[in-house]
Amino acid sequence: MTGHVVEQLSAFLDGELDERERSEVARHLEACPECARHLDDLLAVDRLARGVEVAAPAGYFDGFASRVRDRIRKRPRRLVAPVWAWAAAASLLLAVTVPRLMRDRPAAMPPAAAPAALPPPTTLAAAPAALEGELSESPRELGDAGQGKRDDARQGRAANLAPAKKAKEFKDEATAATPVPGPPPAAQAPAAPPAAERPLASAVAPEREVGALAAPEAAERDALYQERGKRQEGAGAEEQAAASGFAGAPAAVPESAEAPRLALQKTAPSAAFRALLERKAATIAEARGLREAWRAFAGGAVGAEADEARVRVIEAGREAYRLSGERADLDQLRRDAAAYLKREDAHQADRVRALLRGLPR
Amino acid sequence: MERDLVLKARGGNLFAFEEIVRRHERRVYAVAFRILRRHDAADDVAQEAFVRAWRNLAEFDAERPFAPWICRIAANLAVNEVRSPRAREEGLPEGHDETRSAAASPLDGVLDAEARRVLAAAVAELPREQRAVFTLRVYEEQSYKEIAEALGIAPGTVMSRLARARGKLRDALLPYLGPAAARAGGGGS
Repeated sequence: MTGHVVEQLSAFLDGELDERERSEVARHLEACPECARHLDDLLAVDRLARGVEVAAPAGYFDGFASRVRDRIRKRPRRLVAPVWAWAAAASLLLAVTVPRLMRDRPAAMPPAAAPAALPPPTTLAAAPAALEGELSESPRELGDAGQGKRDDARQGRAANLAPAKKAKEFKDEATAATPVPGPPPAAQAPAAPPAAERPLASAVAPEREVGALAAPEAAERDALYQERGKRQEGAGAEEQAAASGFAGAPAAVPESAEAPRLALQKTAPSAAFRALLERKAATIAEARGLREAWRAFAGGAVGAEADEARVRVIEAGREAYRLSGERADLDQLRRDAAAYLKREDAHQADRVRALLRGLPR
Repeated sequence: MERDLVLKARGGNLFAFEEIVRRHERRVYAVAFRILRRHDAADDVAQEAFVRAWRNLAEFDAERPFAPWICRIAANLAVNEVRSPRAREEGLPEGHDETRSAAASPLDGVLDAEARRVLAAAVAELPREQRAVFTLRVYEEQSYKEIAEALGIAPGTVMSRLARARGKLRDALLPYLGPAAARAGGGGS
């Protein structure tokens, strides 16, 4: 190695270089007192930094936990459909209805293309309504932008979804507390907005709770999302590449209607989810349509359903490629699989890798 | 056990969650403050981080330690300065820089105390994004991958921001680094 290695010393210090780089830097340090001293300086900076303590005002932490509790109680875990959810619902509706409309036009599609692949009529109405039912509880919780669509969707609303699980009362030995009139169970974690709308990359998506805000707050937050989304678009390509896969948020809760891998899910599968599971794809157009329907569903789902939906995107994409043999479908399949496998909460990575086996290079 | 508290909280037990809050409040506040440099903003972000953790507990793996997760949430909120609806509506006033040097131990001596004051000032001059990666790495000892995920940036960006931050801090501290580096020798990080 020629020249100094100052640029790499920070990562060397943290053990974040790969083996080859690490050994190169280590060799250089043995022969270069200047870089060795620089490394000592960085070590000293870290050590000094750790000696700088944060001093909160006196008594600040005395009531911190209770202040957090008050905030939680003021903004309980409720689920609301923000604008993006309506976009997802609309996409789903289109994905479901377009093939049906196509089927109704014999000249536009071969007879073999239609029947078995289409969901029953009830499903068509149930899908968007079900999505709404899962995501919101009260009209005022949705911003003005979504109200009209919400009303439209409510007209087609089908039966109730799985009832909310009552918050579990408990006896905490440590606190001897009284039962909390608290939030619904965690199984109903709010849906995450699309990556482009998230102010928080991971997602931790902590901001999924946006749905819990009352109408003015939700509208304000939506505006904030949009503003931040635009800002993100202007960000560097390097940062953009990472922004899609949050992470702060750990794994999703596994579960599903039929598969053991989803057995831990605490609520019944949504109607929209069940409807998509029933859809078959016998033609290229149907496979592509199903792929996009799953994609739209995944964008508004959380937990195990979201994970399963993402895998179904890939499965449908695999089928689309099998039927079409077109490069575009293959490329889309690879992109979808790569995006899934990069996720921290990819619970079915093996299943996805299996779907990739045998594909042409 | 913290895992039990997390499981109870996930089931809706707000008192169990309060116990979790008490265990981590200082650490979370410190992360927020180190990035934001203002008590009022750090207070808001720290509370908000716990609220969001509560709301997303279903997605947290109870088998894993809670602290890194909540600290990442706090750092993410701090970097993006996503403040609570109440704070945004009320426009909470800005506070003062409240970081203070730790009381120097006899071993550290006056020189280290002065170096820490210089360091605190230099950290305050860093861009918030650099403070965030520096905080998560140096104080929370998170990996580049974890930091990248928390902040929504690429690991390579974490690496470059951290190198720049450390380089600036080193430049500011050069007059003090001789003796400090000598004591730090062999200490590692």
